[in-house]
Amino acid sequence: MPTTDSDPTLTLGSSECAHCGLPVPNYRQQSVPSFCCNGCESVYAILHQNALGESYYRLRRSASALPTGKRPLSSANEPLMLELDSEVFAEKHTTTSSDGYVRTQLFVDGVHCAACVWLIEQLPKELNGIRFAQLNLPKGRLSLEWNPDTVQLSAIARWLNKYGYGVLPRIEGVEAPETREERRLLIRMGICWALAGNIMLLAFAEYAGLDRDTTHLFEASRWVSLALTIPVIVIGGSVFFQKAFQSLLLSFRQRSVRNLHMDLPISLGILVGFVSSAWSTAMGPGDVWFDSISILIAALLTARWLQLRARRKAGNSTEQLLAILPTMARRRDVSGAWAAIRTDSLASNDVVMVKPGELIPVDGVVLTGSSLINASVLTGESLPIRKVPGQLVFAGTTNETDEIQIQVSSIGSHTSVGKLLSWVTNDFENSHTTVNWTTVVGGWFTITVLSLAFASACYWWWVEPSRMAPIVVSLLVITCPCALGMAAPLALAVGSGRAAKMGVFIKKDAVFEWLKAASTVVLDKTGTLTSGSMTITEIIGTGTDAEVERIMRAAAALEANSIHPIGRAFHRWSDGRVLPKVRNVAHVPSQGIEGFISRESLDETVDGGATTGARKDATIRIGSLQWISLQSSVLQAHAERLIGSGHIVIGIELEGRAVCVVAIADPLRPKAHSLVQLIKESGKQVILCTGDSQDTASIVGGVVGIEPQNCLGNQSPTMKKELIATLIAQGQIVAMIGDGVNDSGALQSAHVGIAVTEGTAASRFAADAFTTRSGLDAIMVLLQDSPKVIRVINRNLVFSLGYNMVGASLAFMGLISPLVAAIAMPISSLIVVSSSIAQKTFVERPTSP
Amino acid sequence: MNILYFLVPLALLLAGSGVWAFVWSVRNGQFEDVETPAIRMLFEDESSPDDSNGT
Repeated sequence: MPTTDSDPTLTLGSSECAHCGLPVPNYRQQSVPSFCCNGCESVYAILHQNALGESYYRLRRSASALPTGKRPLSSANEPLMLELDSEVFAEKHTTTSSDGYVRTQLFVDGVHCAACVWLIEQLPKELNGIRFAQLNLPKGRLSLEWNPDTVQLSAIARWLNKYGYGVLPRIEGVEAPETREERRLLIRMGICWALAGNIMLLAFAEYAGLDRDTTHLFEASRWVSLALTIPVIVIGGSVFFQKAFQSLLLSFRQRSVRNLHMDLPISLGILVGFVSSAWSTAMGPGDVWFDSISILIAALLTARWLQLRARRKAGNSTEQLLAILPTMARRRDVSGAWAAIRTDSLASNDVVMVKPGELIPVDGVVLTGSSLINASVLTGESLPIRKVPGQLVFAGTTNETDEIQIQVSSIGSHTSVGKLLSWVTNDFENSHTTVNWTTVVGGWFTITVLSLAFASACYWWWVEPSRMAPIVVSLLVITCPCALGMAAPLALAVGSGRAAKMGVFIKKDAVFEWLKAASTVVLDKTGTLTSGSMTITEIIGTGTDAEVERIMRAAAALEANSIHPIGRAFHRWSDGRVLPKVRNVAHVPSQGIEGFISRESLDETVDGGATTGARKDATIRIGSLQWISLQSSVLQAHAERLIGSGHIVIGIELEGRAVCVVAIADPLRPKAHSLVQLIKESGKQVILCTGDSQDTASIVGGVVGIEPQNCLGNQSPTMKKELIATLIAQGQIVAMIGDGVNDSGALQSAHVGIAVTEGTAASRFAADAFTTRSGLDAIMVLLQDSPKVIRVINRNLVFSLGYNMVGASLAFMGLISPLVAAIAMPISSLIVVSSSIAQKTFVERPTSP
Repeated sequence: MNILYFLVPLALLLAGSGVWAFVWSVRNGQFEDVETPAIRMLFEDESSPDDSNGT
């Protein structure tokens, strides 16, 4: 199989998308060509169908590359489809324009790049009745306008599903406050810059020597400056005044200097500068500082806006999370008919029906039917479990094989998954925040500045009372910590902005600091260290390679309609291969599957002459080793070895003779070992924590190099959360890396929780940071570069404090004039800005081609 | 120099109209998504009918 990767043992496909060139997530790298997302894959296929792809891909196309076809979502989420077309939805989520077109917004999962935008915005051309489709890529939000008489919203959702994009309705009012806050800050910032620019122009006239005596221009310019500064103070300054006042109240109540926020010295500088300038303007002599303080406000607002924006990029998933539980269910009414109903209007003991492939909307007891239930979102256990009548099933888990009826026991926030999520929301307020740099510095800084001002007041009152007031004012203005206030936010904003470009989204600034300080890293197994999906890792047959290949194809054909995880592993293996026909396929419960395969497709396969003449079909059986006996000692030995190394081993039998053993496992991600080594090298302890068995935990731990005593199996979500709590109680600083809702509690309890999410939004909510791309690579970059970001902050802080010290000393000596301040203050800020932008963090590593 | 009494307010008026335009565009949501339009530009004639935001 051709590969473009430098290390063929790690990946089969390419790490670069054949369509857009972006990195390909590990789980998609198995196919050739590889694509970063479904959009790319579909566009690739469409372009080729229309004979447009030839020139487009001429340079990138590899010799044997054929589009592997679209991978649509296996089945639409039917209750969601019902909900999309329901009147309740229309009432709650849509607006109708005067000409009958309906407008709404949907979340679209799995959009990554230009191709996704292009494809999705083809909607008006592809489906009749859609007038407008516009995708907001960073937020994954699709604005739609359609005519409900011509097309239904569910048809649009199905179209998107066809190309592999999941759809969630947007819940109104959840994101709105965040957006409003950002918009308001942006408006304040714009107004302040416009005013500050004009004030500065007027100040230039004065610095250039505008004559005070000959004309009234001098006074006029001061009055205009004053008039322009008032809105700056009111619109921009109020942001700082509020926070400063709050921190003052808090520190007064708690009698602690540490609660004094950086905004306090900032507010103090602004107010003193403004009042004294206003006084000078009205009373005649004296300096004005209008330009300095207005620029200062505008610059600080900019830093804050950038920070807010960088953080918001990562925070959008909160609203998506609220949409993971199905909102519609099928309830049996008194007459025995099934009717769609909103989940939140269900009551205990109602009976709901769940079809295969759907999410279970409630916690409840199975009444009729028996089906495999995948609870990985809740428990982390990757194998689905068969549930029969009388057993409990949980909301948010997936019903995989058969239709079941469930008696409702709890709904919404009372369900297991609801409780997990409420841990997250309740803990959100008192989650771990760092002893914020700037806050600590801010407290002491304020005290120092105030004592300095007092000292200089005393000194000058004694030496030369007439100079006392201007000197104290200039001291307070020049020490107004503009650079200091920007030192941390800017470095963090740049760091997290760059990280977001690499697929690492950081929701809290404290992430960098905690990651640097962390003493223990807890790793989840399924979906974090491993890819989370069953894959055939080894095939051992008794015949030649060609024979084994044919037997495997026959086996894959047998498993083609099975959605058992073993069957899925065969699906994945058979992708792109032509499968022979099988008939009379029969499942043997908890043993395996058997059927007949035509002799022709195996003719050149098995023992050419041994079964000559027989034109009847051959029996083929696939299943557990209890069912299929391995007569061959070679196969037996391999099977034992593979079982010993943590694989699920199944046998394939042809005409009553075992011919193959197949090892199936949830494979480790390519960089799992290097990640563990990286964490260890940085002096942190690594703990593996999984819902799977203790044996699996030990085996996986052994492979990646985690000490056996640190490999913990059989961990429920609650136990994981408690483990973190215990570690924290021991004084450790804990970082948790996990995926899935089952890790939410742990992610939230840890000082810093990082979610590895490839598509699902579930755990993102609880995590402080999450990755969306190339799983562990991104985590490694995050671990390596967090200390660097902290170093940039320290560099900025040291510089700003140095600047303020020099400024304060000069002011103390009476050497600071408004002109000096007007030059020194922007320059100091500029240096902090450049230092933040020039940081060498989160740059693409040349090592991974 | 008396012309300044006319020119400075005029300049401020212009600045004011700029600020008004800015506030309007923020409220209109034009700064909500600054990434996708840059991508959409690459689609040549394929882009969806735009409601004349650009020039």
